[in-house]
Amino acid sequence: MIRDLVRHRELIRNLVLKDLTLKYRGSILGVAWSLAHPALLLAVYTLAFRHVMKIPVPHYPYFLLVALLPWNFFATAVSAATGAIVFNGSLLRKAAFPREALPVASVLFVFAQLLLGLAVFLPAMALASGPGLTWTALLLLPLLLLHVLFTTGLALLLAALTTAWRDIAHLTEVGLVLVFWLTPIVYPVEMVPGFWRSALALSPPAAFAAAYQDVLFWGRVPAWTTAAATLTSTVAAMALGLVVFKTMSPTFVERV
Amino acid sequence: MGVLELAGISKRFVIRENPTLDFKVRVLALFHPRHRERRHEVWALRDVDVHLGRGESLGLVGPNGSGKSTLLRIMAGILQPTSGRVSLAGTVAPMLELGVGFHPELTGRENVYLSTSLFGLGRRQTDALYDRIVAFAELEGFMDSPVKTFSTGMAMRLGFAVATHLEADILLVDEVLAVGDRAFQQKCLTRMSEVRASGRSIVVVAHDLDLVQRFCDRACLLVQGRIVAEGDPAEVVARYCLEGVPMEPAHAI
Repeated sequence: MIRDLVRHRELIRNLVLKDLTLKYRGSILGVAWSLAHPALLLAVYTLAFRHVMKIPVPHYPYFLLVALLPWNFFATAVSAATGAIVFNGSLLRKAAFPREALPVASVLFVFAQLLLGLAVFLPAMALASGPGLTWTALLLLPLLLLHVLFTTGLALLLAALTTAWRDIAHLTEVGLVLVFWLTPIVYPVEMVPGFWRSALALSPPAAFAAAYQDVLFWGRVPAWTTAAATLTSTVAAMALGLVVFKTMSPTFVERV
Repeated sequence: MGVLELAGISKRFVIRENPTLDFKVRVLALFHPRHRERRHEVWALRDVDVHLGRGESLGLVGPNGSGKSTLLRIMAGILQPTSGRVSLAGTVAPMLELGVGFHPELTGRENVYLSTSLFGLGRRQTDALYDRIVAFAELEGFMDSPVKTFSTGMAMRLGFAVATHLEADILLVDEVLAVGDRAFQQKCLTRMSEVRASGRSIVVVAHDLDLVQRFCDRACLLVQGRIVAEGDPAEVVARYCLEGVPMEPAHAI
């Protein structure tokens, strides 16, 4: 599969470019929307959780940002992936390209926007009145790689399952909202009561959020449990996603 | 050994008759058989063998629903056969629904690059073909406009130009010559002759029997998913015309 995708890297590139072009063509602010969207979320969440709910974290907007940007990538990519196959019937019927290219491209399209967001917000965090960045910020690179792979695994799984059960798309939408509020992104994990906090150790999104907060906000190396959770969930998501996708992809054309 | 060998190909489609199978219908089905899922099977192809030699042009003829398009899609690798074996020694350029698959919001140029990459071409390979594609489609000056502003004929010309310039070993052509004006048809035929003259193979599905006789080296007559006659195009066409072949509706994807 890797070899297929490498051979079709031009296709993936074109699919990502197509999505980026279509997203911004005709809008006045264009690419700036990719920054305006998280900036507005950040403003509203900061108002609600620092000034109304009084969450006791110094530099709260930065704390929020370091886990919110990656979450937005994950959530947007996963929900877009549910349509990656079913809404591309005309491409499927046109040629026998490797079907993996569609969900992979839809993940990379959203990932490009995360990179743009990080490129703008991280310097602000290092320079301005923020908490500053330490050397642990370098761990962001392997963390992003794991996060992309984890997201791609889920994307493959959901893209394939949606061809058989359209309900998956709706379930994913609802599930993402639930998981967002159950994940320590807008509140620190220390505010979660004891029992529930240990339950969170089993949640891959919580592990990824904790890892981003560690390396970018707290300036520390993630605990080994956090690292192990991100790694195992990535391997599991990829394995499951690939097996299900490979099994179902020969009949995609007949299902969409 | 030809460039493409199909051995014992069968294709079954499962047709669901209920338009929706949502929760309500599933619950009702527990109580009343009228709501149970109704499905039936259609064998679009039954035990079909096809041999395609290098540089050969093969015509597929037969009534609507006889499995021609399904066979073409199996040759293209787009549909998987239910049973049987496909051995392909080369690349395939399917030209199945011309202009379909172009994105209306993207420009002509963007669509060309997207289409060629669907077939695994890199950017530089497409760069090298691009001017010839545009010239053949006679769309100079339009390529930076969105395809939604193209007429149907313009989109079809572009689709045909892309497919025939891919330089694949096999060109699959489904009924494209039934659409388009006379000048376009003539141009397509000329281009297909060039493709054949360059040693590549062509499979044509056509209702224009005259075309099959003039253009193809060999023809197959498909009836209800089986090949009932094969060989010299004139004889196969004569057989198709003589026998009132029975019709049965089937589904192609």
